[in-house]
Amino acid sequence: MKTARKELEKTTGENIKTGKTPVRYQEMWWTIESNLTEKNIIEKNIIEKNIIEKNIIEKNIIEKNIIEKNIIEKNIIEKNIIEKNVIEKNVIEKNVKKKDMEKKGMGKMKNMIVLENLSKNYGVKKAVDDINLTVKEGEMLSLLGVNGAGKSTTIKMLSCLTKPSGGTAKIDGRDVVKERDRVKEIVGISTQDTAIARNLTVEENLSFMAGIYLDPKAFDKKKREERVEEILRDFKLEEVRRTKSGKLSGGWQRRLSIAMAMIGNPKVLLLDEPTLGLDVLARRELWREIEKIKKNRTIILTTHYMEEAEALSDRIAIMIKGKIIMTGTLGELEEKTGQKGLENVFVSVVEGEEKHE
Amino acid sequence: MNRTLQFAKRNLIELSRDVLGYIFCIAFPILMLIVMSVVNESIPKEAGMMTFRIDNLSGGILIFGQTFVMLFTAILVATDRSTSFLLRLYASPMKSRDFTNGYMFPMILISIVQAIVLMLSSCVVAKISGVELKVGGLLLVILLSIPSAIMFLSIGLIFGSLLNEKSAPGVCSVIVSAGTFLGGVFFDAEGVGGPILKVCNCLPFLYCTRVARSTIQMDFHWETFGKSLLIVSLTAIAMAALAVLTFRSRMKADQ
Repeated sequence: MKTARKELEKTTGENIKTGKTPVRYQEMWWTIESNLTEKNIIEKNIIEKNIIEKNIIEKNIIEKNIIEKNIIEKNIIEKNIIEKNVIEKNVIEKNVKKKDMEKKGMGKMKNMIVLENLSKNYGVKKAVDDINLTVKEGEMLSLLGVNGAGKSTTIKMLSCLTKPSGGTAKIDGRDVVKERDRVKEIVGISTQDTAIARNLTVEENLSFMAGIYLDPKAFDKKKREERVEEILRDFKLEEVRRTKSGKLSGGWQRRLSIAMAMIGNPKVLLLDEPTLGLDVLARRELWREIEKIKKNRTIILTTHYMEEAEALSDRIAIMIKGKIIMTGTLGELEEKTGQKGLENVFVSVVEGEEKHE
Repeated sequence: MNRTLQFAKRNLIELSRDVLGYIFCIAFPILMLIVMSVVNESIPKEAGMMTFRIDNLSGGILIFGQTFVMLFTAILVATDRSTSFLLRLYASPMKSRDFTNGYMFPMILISIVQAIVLMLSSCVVAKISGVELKVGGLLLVILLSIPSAIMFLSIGLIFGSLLNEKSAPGVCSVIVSAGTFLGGVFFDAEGVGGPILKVCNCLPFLYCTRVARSTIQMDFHWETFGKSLLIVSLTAIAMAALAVLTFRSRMKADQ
């Protein structure tokens, strides 16, 4: 009303008191009031429309977020199910393998690796402290432990890279100190770092290792080349055969590193944290390669990844501060600790050991 | 022997793919040969300066080039030690002699190729500057420079075994400078005489230069050639033995 009066005053140039509109201006007053009412209605409608639109947009965004969240959750659940299935499948396969081995009397297979009171001291520090361990032929054992537990030192002693301070280690009956050369002939190693010649191509790296490991009397040039081709094929390295190894991704380099360790067809394979620093996909890919080479080969694998040990190994040994605290299959470890899953078993053992100290 | 050759082949491939190797071991000595020959043309004949005349210069440049082979040997060994590659090989059936010989063989081959290229370049420079070089001397120096090459690459192997990949090139460049200066490559050590000559005579570098120069000039006197060749050969044997011992001890320490 006040606005209509001001509009009327502006149009007529006269001062019009509230509630006393002169008769001569009555029609003009109604017109102005009607226009203002219409204008207000339109403005009100526009505001209401904007609010509705805003609400719709907000509703859509919320709905979109909910859908996206659901998709992500669904993917995570599916991924977990797949991972669980893979692990369960491996466990089932392992049990089947174990039963087969037992049926065939292979449970009594010879001991391929025997460690008796094995120790390694660096000054006053005991890196490996009086460990006893047996690994059977064709068995895969995972050495689990936190950093500095003595896993890599054990691997180094088994690969004749460092001499034990005490005790003995025998591989296929050969002493790692007294029969170094004979041990080196049957042991392949893939170290923590990708030990490859970076300026050499993938094929050249493999040819070089074939020349080092394969006896020239038994393997002439043609046979060595055939072995290289076989390894390239087995490890699916054919597509990168002419690529300089230094230019490969981390996953490919690890794969090449294990392929190089396999060139001499070793009876025993030592894998020191083979999937360290790899993304989940590259790690899974490498697991598949390790699964393939597992057959009829004794493997010791050191790792920080519980799911890796769970998925790949027949038996697990837990090392803490240079000592092997517990050894057994996953089921045995779960039974001993009363925990479910390797991660819980491991945490329980480590914490138990800390409390014990 | 097969493993030595396999390792030597790997090292040769590794070095052949390093562009810097071509620049320092081949291109730089040739450049110095040309530059010093131009300097020689600028020196008045009355000065009687013979150091930069091509029959003197080519022998000196040959030794100068060998000092870079030492540098690259040190870099290769130190780099291999810094990676796990050598650790993997320590766990293989390779023996320590396979490692030391495997490093030395390709380096000797590179030194021979370097000597051939430098002598061919010297022929071209000699033709342009109107100085006559004896073909027999040029061919013979390729063979007789092998002892000095072994000496230098053994020094490289020692530094590569003792130092890491960052410090090895630095220390080796000191030897490159010392070898060039005290070897009388770019100055007349005999002409200078005094304490400098005494220091030069106490070190093997000057004898290396003398052998190379005398051979190119076909001057086979005992004092200039025979005595120098004997000293260089004995030093090469001593250095090679020391390199093998150093590498072995570092091999154990690295493990």
